Amino acid sequence: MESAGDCENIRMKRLFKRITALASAAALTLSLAACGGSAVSGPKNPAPTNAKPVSITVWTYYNGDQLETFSELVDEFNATVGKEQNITVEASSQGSVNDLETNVLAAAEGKVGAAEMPNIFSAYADTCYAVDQMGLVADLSGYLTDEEKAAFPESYLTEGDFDDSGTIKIFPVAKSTELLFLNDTDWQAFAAATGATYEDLSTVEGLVATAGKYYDWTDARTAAPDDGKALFGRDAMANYMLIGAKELGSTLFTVENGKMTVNLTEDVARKRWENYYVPFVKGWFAGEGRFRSDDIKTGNVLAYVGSNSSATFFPKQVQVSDTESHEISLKVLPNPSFTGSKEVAVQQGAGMVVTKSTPEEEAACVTFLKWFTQPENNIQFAVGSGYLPVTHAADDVTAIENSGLDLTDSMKDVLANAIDAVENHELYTPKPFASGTDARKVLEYSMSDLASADRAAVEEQIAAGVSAAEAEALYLTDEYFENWYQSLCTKLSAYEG
Amino acid sequence: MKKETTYQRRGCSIFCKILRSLLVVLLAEMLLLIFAISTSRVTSQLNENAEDILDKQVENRANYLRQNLIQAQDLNAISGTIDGVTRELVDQGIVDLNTLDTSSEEALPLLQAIVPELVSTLRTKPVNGIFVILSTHDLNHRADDSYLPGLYIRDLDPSALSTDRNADLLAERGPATAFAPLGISTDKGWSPAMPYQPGGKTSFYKESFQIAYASKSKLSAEDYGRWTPATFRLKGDDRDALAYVQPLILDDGTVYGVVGVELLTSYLTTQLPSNELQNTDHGTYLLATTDADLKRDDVINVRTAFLTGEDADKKMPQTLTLYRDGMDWKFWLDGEEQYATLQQLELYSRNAPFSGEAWLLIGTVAQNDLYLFSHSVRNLLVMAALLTAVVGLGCSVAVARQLAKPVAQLSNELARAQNDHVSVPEFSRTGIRELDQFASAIVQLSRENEEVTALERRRIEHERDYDILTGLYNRQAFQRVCESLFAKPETLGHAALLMTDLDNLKTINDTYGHDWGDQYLRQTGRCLAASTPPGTLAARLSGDEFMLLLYGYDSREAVREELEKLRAALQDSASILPSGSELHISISGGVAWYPEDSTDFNTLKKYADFAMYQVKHSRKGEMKEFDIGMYNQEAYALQTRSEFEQMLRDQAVSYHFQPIFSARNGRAIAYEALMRPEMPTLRSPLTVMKLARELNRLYDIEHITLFKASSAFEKLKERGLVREDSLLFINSIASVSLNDTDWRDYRGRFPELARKLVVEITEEEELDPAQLERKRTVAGASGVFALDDYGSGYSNGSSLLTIAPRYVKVDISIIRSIDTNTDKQQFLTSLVDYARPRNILVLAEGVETTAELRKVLELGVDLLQGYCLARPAAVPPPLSKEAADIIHRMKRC
Repeated sequence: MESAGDCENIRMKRLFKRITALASAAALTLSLAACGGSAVSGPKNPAPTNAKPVSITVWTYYNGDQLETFSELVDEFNATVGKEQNITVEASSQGSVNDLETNVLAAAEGKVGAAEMPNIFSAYADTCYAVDQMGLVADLSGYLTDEEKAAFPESYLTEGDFDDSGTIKIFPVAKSTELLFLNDTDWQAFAAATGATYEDLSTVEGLVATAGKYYDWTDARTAAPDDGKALFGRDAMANYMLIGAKELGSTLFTVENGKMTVNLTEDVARKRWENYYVPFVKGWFAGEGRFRSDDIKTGNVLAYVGSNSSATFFPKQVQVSDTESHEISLKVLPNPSFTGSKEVAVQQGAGMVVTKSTPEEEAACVTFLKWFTQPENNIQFAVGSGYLPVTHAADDVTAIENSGLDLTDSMKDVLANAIDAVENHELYTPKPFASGTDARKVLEYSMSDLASADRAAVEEQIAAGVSAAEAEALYLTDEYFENWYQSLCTKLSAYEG
Repeated sequence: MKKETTYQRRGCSIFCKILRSLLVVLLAEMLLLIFAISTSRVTSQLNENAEDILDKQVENRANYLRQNLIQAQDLNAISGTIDGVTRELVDQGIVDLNTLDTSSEEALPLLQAIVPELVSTLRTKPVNGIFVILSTHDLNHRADDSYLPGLYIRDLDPSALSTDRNADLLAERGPATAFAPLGISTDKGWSPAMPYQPGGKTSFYKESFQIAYASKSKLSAEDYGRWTPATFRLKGDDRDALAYVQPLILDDGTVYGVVGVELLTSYLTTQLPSNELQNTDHGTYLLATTDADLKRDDVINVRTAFLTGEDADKKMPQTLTLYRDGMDWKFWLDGEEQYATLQQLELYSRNAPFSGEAWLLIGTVAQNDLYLFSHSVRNLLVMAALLTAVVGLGCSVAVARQLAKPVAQLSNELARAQNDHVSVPEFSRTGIRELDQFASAIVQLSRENEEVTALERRRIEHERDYDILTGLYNRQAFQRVCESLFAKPETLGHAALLMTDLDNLKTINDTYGHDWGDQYLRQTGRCLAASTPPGTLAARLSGDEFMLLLYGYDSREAVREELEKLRAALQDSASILPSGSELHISISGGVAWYPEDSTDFNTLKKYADFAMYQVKHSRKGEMKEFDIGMYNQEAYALQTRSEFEQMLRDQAVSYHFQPIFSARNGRAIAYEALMRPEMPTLRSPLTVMKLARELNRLYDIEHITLFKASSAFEKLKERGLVREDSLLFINSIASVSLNDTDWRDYRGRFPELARKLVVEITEEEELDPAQLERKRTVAGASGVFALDDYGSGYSNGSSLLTIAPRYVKVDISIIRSIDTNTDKQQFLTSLVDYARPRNILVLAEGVETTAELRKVLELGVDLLQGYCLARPAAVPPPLSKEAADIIHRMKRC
């Protein structure tokens, strides 16, 4: 440090001498010229629209390809429009939706160790609502012309209009819905052997039955008893609960004036239970990895229902062990619904929320978001991430195909199915309410964590020599369901009002 | 040269003067500016400055990067943990070192055990990934495309906060079961184990492992640590990364794998913001290795491991050759010289196996971009200098004009005043104190000068205009005033110009002396001034001459009254002379009337003068009005008299010759010279003779006639226009005779002609016998006379006797109508009868008709002259044909 300090001193002295010389020359020049017009500036500096450089931060929950695609677009923005208008976007991923929300709320609440509020964060309506309740969310309606608003489906923009006053608090950038992803290669072997068809997977009931069939079929392939494999898994249990209720004609969380009322009938809960918990405990369904796409990779399951955005995570091969692996192909099918119920598709995909800041920063945020949702950029993000574009112009298979982007067949399949689902199903987005996120988490983990734990217990017993039926029986009682149902209702009721 | 002298003579304008001075100052300023710029070495200083800033930036960045890399590569803690876990599992027999690297299953307990440790280490380091690869055998003997068990966990965004469920982590390698409990999802390129491909980039871990394995772990594990000198990519993945790999060595020296961390190039890019190198994005950061000695080598080769910035897109060669340039390093890229700053990162211990492989952070900027600022400053300075010159020039002109303007304005106003002969110039205010003082001083001086001048002028004017003696106008002033009055006839009305002459001045002067004369003049002047109504112009012209102009009257009578009063006043005025007698003013005056006599002043003056002289020549002391009739008469006489004098002086008289023919044969035997005065008014010879007689100039006429006629006749003879033996009749004045000298002269000039000369004696004058005798006897003359105008009155018989002429010229009054008048016939007959016996030839003069000619021939004249025969002319004509016929016919009969 000592030497660095000396060096610094010498450097400063040299610099000072030069600046003095320059200053005297400049002063002489200017005094003689009697003209103080143009300031010294590098000739290659483009004239920025904003005199002051604006730097905005964006937090996302993207990961993997989504994060990469998003980063590429951010870089492109910074190098082009951002450079022109002196806007720099710094994007960082907070990991998952939940992490993002935690971090955003921590920042919003100013918790110790929390980062500063980002200018933009990606969020579902719940999170946005929570932050909005703190008065930190900017209304973007004033930054958009009617023409610009008309480019988006109305429901996308109204998602953030919490009090129906025409505000826009969530800027849609990507949307997703749920699809059924199938390891078609291994499915074909099973289908060939058992006569199972895709059609069997079109209803929840059919799916459960097929899963049982698959378990038996795989069990039968080894000598060991009760070592059948799971066919299916779910990524988003909250959606399963919410959409399921909707399909059955009820709304789980009824929100009025920001106040939520739980509306979970036992019938609805029972149907959920029968079609997830029960097959899970039986080993027909599974959920080991972080995402079901991880389970596809390891061969744990053949199919899962997940966001179309998970398409990028769908592996190209199954790796059973270090050396055993085989290529697989993807088959995308519609999200199965309950027999006889109406078809409801979840409309999800976090939008971008702009936090309140200076008008310059807010304007810069909107500039970025508008650029990001221009059809060519929106399609690039959609193709790269498996999300759906959000504007009419971009939300079209032909437009996507014509975008000139490298589009795999499976991605084309995914987008086509997703667009079909969005267009032909009733779209449902849960209304946000205070602590909606937490309530959602309860829905997410309540059944799945119980199922995972119970299945683990069952497997332990099986390993210990107890028959599967015997081991499972303990969990398949009405009482056991009732307990779970009551505890769930109790948990959820905490968020009411 | 001529221009220059003109310039010098005219001097330099104040504008030029000021402008020249200002330009000199401007020039000095420019020189000073150029001197200042050149001595300050601004641009080279700026260039050095830019280099310094770049150097410093790279230095700072290298320090930061080095810290991060050192932190990243400090794997002692985790490797210790892994060693501990491994030793424990080996000791427990759960894993076997011999089979540990055969499959994931064999290594699973170890891997599962260390996953949480790896994750927590990953969280603490500024890296993208952490990995463990297990190998307990010489990799050189390992089969290609086999798998090494291991774990590879990646965090794409290490700068973001970690999440509770590890949602931000991705598993790249390792058994899924090892990750599932931590909620780490698999990446798309995930595989359970690490494929071994010797020589391939994917075997980035091999070097470190092998060298430790081969050297039997003589050194500590960290000494074998090495950063991959090039980026690599995991199979199935599309992200480039650099990794630090350090062998895992148990206490007993058993090398059982490697542990390491990775840095994705995307993350490195954020760690090395190349835009900090240069304001504009023109810099490039290179992360490179070299084997060269930076201190000694002047040319070094570096292998680029990673680069970010402007040249990231360009084709930067894998190996760059840098050369030392003074303190700096340079290299060429795409024909552009690049400036490079090298900072050694010093990541390895000196005794470590890879210590010869030096890691460098190189910041490069194309020289042109680096010196951009100095170039723009230089351009600015040049522009400023030019602007200074232009603005300075403009300002100089403006200032010079501004300063010169008031002076030029004063100068112009003064010049204008001089042109307009304004004695006191007026100056507008300039607003400059000195100039305004100067101008007011000029005005003051001019005003004083004007006053003096006006006095002087009045004095001079008075002296010029007034007669000192009488106080009246002098001639010039009178003339001038009158002229201006006559230019305005309306003011004149009826006017009288009175010209007077004091009568007795000479007598008084001679008698009493000039003082009395002056007294007399003064009195006259006083009287004239006092006795005329105001407005009358009175002047003393000269000596005793006075003139008055009475004007502005309605009628001549009104003027006459005034004149009468004046005359009376003059008569009444009297002064006592020394002799005691009273002297009255006696004045002779002539009056001319305006506008009756003339409207012209000078004419009036002449008339008045004339009228006055009329008085002077008659009765002095009177005043007489101008009479135009008298004036004209007098004027004519004066004219002819003066012409006569002039004629004599100039001998302006010519002579015509009329032939005289012989009645016998019609031959021209003689010519009469006839005088022809050549004056405008004076044309008649009779008038000439009358004037000559009046003015007593007969002698002159005689002389001129004799000489001029002879000379002309001589010329005719010379030209053969008259016969050689022709006689010349010249009219002579009877009472006059030329003196001897004249005659001598005549003989000398005309010796021949003198013998042919016939002197005609006219009987008009009283004959002077003495003169006659002289004419006859004077030496050289022929002495032949012709008696002229015989029968006309003066010439009578008596003359015939007295003169005894050779020729008698019968007067025209006898010849006229002789053919019808018998008395005249008788007279002629008598004469012929008388003449013939006495040898006198009779010449009929003035024969104008053929009838007269026949009659005179019939009556027997000898010679003939007249219009009927030949008219007089300068060149005499021959006998007319008609007359010739008559003569021939008569003589034949």
